Formats: sequence, C-alpha cells, structure tokens
Amino acid sequence: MSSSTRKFKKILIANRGEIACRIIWTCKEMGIKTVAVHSDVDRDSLHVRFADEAACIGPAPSAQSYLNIPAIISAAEIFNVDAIHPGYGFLAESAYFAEICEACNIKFIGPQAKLIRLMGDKIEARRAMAEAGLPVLPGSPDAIESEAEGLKLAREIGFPVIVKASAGGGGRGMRIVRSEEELGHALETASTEAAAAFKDGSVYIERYVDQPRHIEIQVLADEYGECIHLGER
Amino acid sequence: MASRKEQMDNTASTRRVRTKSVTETGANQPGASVNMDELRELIGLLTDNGLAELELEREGFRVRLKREGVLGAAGEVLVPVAASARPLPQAAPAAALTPPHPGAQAETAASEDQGLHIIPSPIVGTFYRSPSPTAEPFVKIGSNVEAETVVCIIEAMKLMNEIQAEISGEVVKIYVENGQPVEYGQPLFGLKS
Repeated sequence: MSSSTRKFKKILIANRGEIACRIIWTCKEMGIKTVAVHSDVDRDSLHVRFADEAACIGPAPSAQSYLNIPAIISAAEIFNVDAIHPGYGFLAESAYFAEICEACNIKFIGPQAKLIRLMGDKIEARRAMAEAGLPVLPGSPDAIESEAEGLKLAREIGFPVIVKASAGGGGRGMRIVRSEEELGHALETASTEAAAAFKDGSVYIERYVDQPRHIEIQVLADEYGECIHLGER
Repeated sequence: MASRKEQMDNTASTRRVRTKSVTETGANQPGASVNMDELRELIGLLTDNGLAELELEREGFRVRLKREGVLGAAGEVLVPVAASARPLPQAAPAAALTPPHPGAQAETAASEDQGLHIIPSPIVGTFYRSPSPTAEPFVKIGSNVEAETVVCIIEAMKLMNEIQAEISGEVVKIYVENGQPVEYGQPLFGLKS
C-alpha cells in the first residue's frame, strides 16, 4: 500500500458469528471487500454468506480452523488481502499471530505485537502503568520467587492479598489469601494452575479489594496520532 | 471459493431447494421417470420463485435443474439421472452448495461421481500438479496410485506440501486446475478402485 492510500481494499475476518458479521457490514459501508474463513461445519453461516469471498480452512475443532494460523494466513495470501481483522477472542490477543501477520506483510487490525505482549503480562502491565503515573494497587514489583519473599511483601501490603497469575485471564490462577498461614499453599496452587492453563507459572501478589466497583473505560488509538476513549462501562 | 457477488443480490433466490416428491399418480414404480408436464411445472417453479437450482428426488429417479448466470437469465440445464435405486453419493458437496468454484469441473452432475473415491484437500492453499513448473505432473488421468503416492503439491505460506493419496485406485477425475486456489475439503481427484 502506498503512503497516499490509507484505505484497505480487502480484508479477511479471522472469526465467525456476530462479530464477523458486524465487521463485514461495516466493511460494506466503507466499500471494503471482505473474505470470510470458516470450518467445514460452519459453511452455511451468515458471516460466510455476507462476505464477498470465503474459504473453508479446516475441520470443526477451533484449533484446526479459527485458531489455525497457517491456514488463515494461507487463505489471506490466496485472496490477496491487505489486512486481517481478528475480531475478539480466538487470535485477537495473540501477539504471535500479530507478528506472523507482520512478517507476511499483512496488516493486523489491532495493537502491535509488543503491546499485546506487554498488556498480556500483568506484571509488565502494572509496571508500565505505574511508570505512566497511573495509580496501581500496592503489590509485588516482580514475580514471587519464594514463600519467604511472598510473606515479606504480603506483610508490607497488608492482608487480605491476592495471588495472581501474570499470564492469567478468566479468573484462573488466582487465590485470595486472608492470613499468613494460607500464603504458601496459595502461591503453589495458583502457580500450578497458571502453568497448566497459560504455560507460565509466574505469580505476583497484590492487595485484595473485597468490595470493588469495577469500572472499565475503553481507550483507542491509531497509528496517526488519533486517540479517543469510549466512555465508561 | 468464488465471488459471491451474484448471490448477494438476493440470498433467497439462490436457495438450493430439494424436494422429495410423493406423487399422487403412483409414479413410484421402479424405473419411473418424470413426464413433460411435470418437467414444465418444475421449470415454472424454478423461474416463478427466482430459484437458481432445484433438485427433485424420487424413488428411481433424480433430476436437477440449474439456472446459470445472473438473475433473469434463461437457460435452464436439465441433468437427467439414470434410474437408480442407490442412495445419492456425497461426492462434491462443495460444488452442490456453493456457486461455481473458479474453474471447478465438479459442476458436472453428481451422478457421474457415483462410486468414486474423492481425495479432498487437507489444507487451504494453491494446488500444483507438478513438483516444479517444468516437471511432469505427479499423476494423470489413468495413473494408478497407492496410499503413499504423492498426487499433488499444495502451497501454503510459501511451503510446498506434498499431498499423499491416502487411498489407492486409478485417477479418473481431476477437479482442479494447476495453480488454482483450493480450500480445506475441496475435491481434488476422483479415484476408481
């Protein structure tokens, strides 16, 4: 794409269901051609019918279709797309996939790989936010290496604390600790769970807030210096 | 895999309609066929409802009507099938459900593929018949293959994947052309064993 053309001509949607449909409709409004990918059993899906072009990329199991990076990239190359939109879930938070897209000269519609990695690692994300001047909960600056270290930190923070997997998500790899006796066991089990679920057993400690108000504010920035927020949810 | 532009104009009109007919006149004798009045009725059904394809299956007979091209084009294609009590094969499902694949010869009536063993593409990529542009094709019509015989290459992400037959038999049909993009499950070869 030349620098004077800022618009994609064709994009591949690496997803299915309502998000794929939504992306395709938006592309139609913008005059962008769309390519849908699907597993063999999803052949009659709406997103397949709405897209301009489509390709079956594998059998029903997600690992062999919607999470199958070589198949998706292969389809992207066959259809000569400019970019891939990952939707949400599936490969949307895969720094590895973002890197492969870049290596194959296909634009990944999403954050840069290094930012996906940064925010996907909670210890690094906390560090980055603290450096940016944002208040974060008192917690360990790094992964906990020993129970003794954990105990010392927990005393500084004050109980209750929570042990959290650095690579975690979906509430897994977390243990609330209300007293010193529970800490050792919590560190062990959280780490084991994290290693199994996320291939990374690193855990850190943070103050636990018993009755939080959970407020989310979505922030979007593009590569041209534009940045907006979408308000609170 | 093909442009869906024509199909997008009116999704309802390109619905593939299959009906199993229960006739009142007892035309269910083995070897019974469809008469001209019924054929005209079917054609009328096709055009009046803006359908692109209609398939009628009845004991001993199957007929498929297909309208080629953009909405409004005339030119029905009758594909009569020899009377047969065998269940319809699952051959070339991709061709049956979607508009013509680029260059796909699988558009021929499914009856011709009865009894053929299909080698489907195991991945999405570009199909090549030879190991290199100047080399001979791996197999031709008439070639006999074993399970380990390499029948083609499918290129994906710059990697040339050698595809083995996985079944043995004689190559009687080649469904795709050299250099054609293929999707997962797309029929490549038809073998007779």
